[in-house]
Amino acid sequence: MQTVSAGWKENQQKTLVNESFIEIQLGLTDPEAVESAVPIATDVAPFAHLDQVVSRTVRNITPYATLERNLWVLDGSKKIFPTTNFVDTSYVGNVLSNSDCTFTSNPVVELTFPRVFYSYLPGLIIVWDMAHGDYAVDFKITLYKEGAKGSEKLVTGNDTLRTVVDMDINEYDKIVVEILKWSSPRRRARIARIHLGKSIIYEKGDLFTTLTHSQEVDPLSAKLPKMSLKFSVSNVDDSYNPYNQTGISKYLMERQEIQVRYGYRTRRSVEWIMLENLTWEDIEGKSWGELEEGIEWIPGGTFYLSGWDAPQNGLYANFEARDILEFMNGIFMKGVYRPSGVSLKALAEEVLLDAGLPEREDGLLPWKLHSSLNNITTTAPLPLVRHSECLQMIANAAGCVMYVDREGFLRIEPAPTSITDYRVDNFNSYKRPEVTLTKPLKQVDVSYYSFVVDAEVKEIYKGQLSINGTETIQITYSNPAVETVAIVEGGALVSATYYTNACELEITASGVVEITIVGRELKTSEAIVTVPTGEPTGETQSVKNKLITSQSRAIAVGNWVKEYLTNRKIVSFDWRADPRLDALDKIMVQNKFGISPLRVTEFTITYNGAFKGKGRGRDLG
Amino acid sequence: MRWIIPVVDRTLLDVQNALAQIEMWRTQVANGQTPTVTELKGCLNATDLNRIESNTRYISHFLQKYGLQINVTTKVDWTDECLPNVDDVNRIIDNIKEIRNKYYEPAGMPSLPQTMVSFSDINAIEQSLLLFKEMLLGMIGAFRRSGTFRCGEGFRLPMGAGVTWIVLEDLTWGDIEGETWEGLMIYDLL
Repeated sequence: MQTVSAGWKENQQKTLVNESFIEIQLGLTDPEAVESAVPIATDVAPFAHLDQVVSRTVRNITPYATLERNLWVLDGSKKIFPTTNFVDTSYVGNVLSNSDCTFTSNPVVELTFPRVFYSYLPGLIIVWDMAHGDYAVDFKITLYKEGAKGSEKLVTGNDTLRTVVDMDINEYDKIVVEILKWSSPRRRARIARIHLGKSIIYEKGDLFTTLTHSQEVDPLSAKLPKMSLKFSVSNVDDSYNPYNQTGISKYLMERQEIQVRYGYRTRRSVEWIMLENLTWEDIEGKSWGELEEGIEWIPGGTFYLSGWDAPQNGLYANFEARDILEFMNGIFMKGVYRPSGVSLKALAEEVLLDAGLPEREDGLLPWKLHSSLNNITTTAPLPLVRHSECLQMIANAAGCVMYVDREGFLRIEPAPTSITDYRVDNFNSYKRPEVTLTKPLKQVDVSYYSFVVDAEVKEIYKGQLSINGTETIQITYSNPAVETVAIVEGGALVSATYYTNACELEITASGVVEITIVGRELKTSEAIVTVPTGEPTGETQSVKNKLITSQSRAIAVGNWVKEYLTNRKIVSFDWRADPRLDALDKIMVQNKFGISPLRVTEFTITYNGAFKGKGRGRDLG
Repeated sequence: MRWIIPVVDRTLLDVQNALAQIEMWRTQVANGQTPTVTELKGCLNATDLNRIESNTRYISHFLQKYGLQINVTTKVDWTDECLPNVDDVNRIIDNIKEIRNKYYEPAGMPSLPQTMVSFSDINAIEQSLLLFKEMLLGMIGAFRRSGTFRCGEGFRLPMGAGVTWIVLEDLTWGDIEGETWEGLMIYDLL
């Protein structure tokens, strides 16, 4: 449940709610180029952190006090240099500007890429000296491809700290930013961030049809969570037509980040401090009541563009986006049998680090794992399944839910237990909630697994491959095995990393090689714990999760599943949605005979000038 | 070595004016002009740091000359390319503490700051140096040559009485050539 003000809640109690708002920010960038960019600069101040100039981490650049002219403003905001460990400085040149603000030797920052990128970017954004307020007045951006100079853009008379540079960036493996003139004399040039690409912001007036925001989370982690977004924007001017070379279509790429937020015009308590940045002109003629009105925003979600189309005979362009799990469809091969056990938290971190998730702009890890995962161990190797499924298995074995929150963090944690103040009742429902009953549950059968290493060393894999030069290959086994060794005939084995279900070999050869892998098979045996519900008849729910490797964990999981599934009423509701609702929230839902707590498992919110929703959950009453 | 008139009256208004002035200069540069950018009172520049360090050295040399073992380290060649760090700031403040501890804490001496980031921090440092200087001149002004006074004679420390020749007796003509009397009465201007 998103945190909102009392004014927001008060607004939801009205028959006609105040005006609502929506904002969708689409980042037109190339995620791979952004992540692979390496900055280079020749003359860097000793306290600079050049690498931070392209990091997606949002940093408050530390305003270190130096003796550059008038930089050490005595307002208490500057920080004295430590002797070592300078933090968050990003790029700082070593040469001071001259008295006329030019440089004797121009500061240059080069962004280098490991290969030529052919993606189209609509420009870039440079954030200059956030710490002290300086910026480049004149600067030049030059593209290079394999050493050859490409297009160039000269900017003069800039007077902004955050400069958006419009230029077509395409076919590049180096982007050079050269600063020609700084905004203050006798100061070092500084760049806090260089963003490749730009952002487009869509507001409610830009939406063509309905925006749909869906979220689905299984409280038992028996299936993967899903959060998605669909919206359409006007394409009357053919901006999104792929045949329009001057349009936006060429800049669109899968996995570009989309940030959504929802807002309502609400009344708030105004305090003087909220007005301190306003001038008299800003508030002249306004009543106190008008000052109290403002737009309150809540995050709507962090998505990644998964698809778009612009019908040639239509007037709009459609966009679809998914959550961060979109990045986790690759198979995790690095499962390892650990007879002494490993915590589920460590296991989850292995998977998450291997998934190659996009860096967050705030620099935080894009996941949050509950501390209880530290206390649960398993000996099992993760099977050859998608990264997302590995995490789902971990969440299930831990008795936790897995979901992506609106800030884009992937979370594995116990489901919230407290009931929120959110109500779906006769006042805000379009019709009475429908109820279906699941069959009675008789028992939960939870399998738990143990592993034995076969005494016999046998051939796990044998095959031929054609290799020219040095190549890294991955081989998966039909049966899990340990103590494996690869023998390569016809080539040289440079390095080998062995996992329980696969191995990664680096081989140098010129032609066909024969690879033989020998090792000991890992045999699995299964036992079942039965947790009865007390019902004499009914269904048996099976839980088969290879990560459950002890009887005690099987009992704990069995009880957790039983507790949830013995609530048999599945409730569907259709209501005037307050978009602060999240899946897994415990809310109160009114029925013909009273009001009952409900765990929300899925909902779809639509917006076409107002919010409307359809939801579903399990009655916990 | 000369005493340099300290700045002890920086105010919040000076800081605000400095911020506004810097912004105005930036706008002028962006408009293609080349404003004459001077060092502002609301900011700490190399000149200010050199003055503080130089005055600290002046006081410590003065005291050493009269037999006090003052242990200070000073640096008087700061430039706009320098990067003073926490060790330098601590050293500058510790220098003042050293003089206070070894010499005297003049009446009205401000509390010493722990850092040097606000106008009041720098005012406190420079004010302390100024008070030391005043005290020193008063002390030297009170010196009497042997045989020029009698037992039981009334006497007051000549604080703020101005520069006397005895203060200058160790200076050569080269040291004070071109100096006005007002320049020599620096401490008395305040």
